[in-house]
Amino acid sequence: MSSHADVRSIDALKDFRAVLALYAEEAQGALGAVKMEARRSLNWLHHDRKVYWSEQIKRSREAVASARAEVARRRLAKTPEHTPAMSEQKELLRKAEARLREAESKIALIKKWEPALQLAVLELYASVRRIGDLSGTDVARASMLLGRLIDALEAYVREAPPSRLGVQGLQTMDTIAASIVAEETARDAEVDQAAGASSDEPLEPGLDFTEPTVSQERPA
Amino acid sequence: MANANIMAGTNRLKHALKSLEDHWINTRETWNDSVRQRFEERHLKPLDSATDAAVIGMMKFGEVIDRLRRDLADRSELS
Repeated sequence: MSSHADVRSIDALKDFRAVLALYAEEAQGALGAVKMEARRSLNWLHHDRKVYWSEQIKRSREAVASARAEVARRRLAKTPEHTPAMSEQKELLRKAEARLREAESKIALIKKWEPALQLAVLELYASVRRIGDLSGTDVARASMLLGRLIDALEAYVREAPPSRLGVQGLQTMDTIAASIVAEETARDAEVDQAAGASSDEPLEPGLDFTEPTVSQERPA
Repeated sequence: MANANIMAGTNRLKHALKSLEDHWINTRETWNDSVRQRFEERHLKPLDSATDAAVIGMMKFGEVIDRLRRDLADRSELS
């Protein structure tokens, strides 16, 4: 590898810069879709399922009460001479009670799932945070650097006579390279400093759930 | 099977990186100096491990929400 500048195609740099932008868009899009799915799941658990199973409990209680009343009515109608059919009514009562138990168990499961899902979402956000930062801020910075490099090379090629492109081209590139390296080193130091200061920031300010206070296992 | 939307997200993320890396191989052939090396080390290599970590986290989350949906679905709705 050359310690001097060695760029043989400005167009290749331009192409790669365009690909970088596309990458950032795709990666951010993918992360956005996954975060959307996380929000949908939270909403499904906290609202949809809670409302649905609460409503099922209400309906099941009504069905149980109605089925019990019908069985009781038939028991009262029983005489030594006549025994009303009850097997169907008993079966209806059994089913209504089973449905009520199921709905109550779902509400209990929702309560178990609430902290577990919050924890899972926090873990998800933690796992995608770095790629989110890189594909967002860092790729944009990389693209900017490439842009500067391309601009400087194009300006030089435009202005320099063909006979001087070789030697002076190398000098120009070395100057740009030195500037980029110095700039990045300074920026790395700034980022390190900022990272130290912002380590207490929330994972995702836009998420509307409280951080779980329990570290329990997820429902089996 | 992990949630379809999560799977789509992980595939999109992996595919985006693969495409970037493929293009980088071509770019490397025309740019071969210390700045290119630094650019690669500083801006491209970290994407690899960060993508791996994200994909693992996303797959794990996909499994969690599959379990969640199974647990809280109403089987009678499906029949």
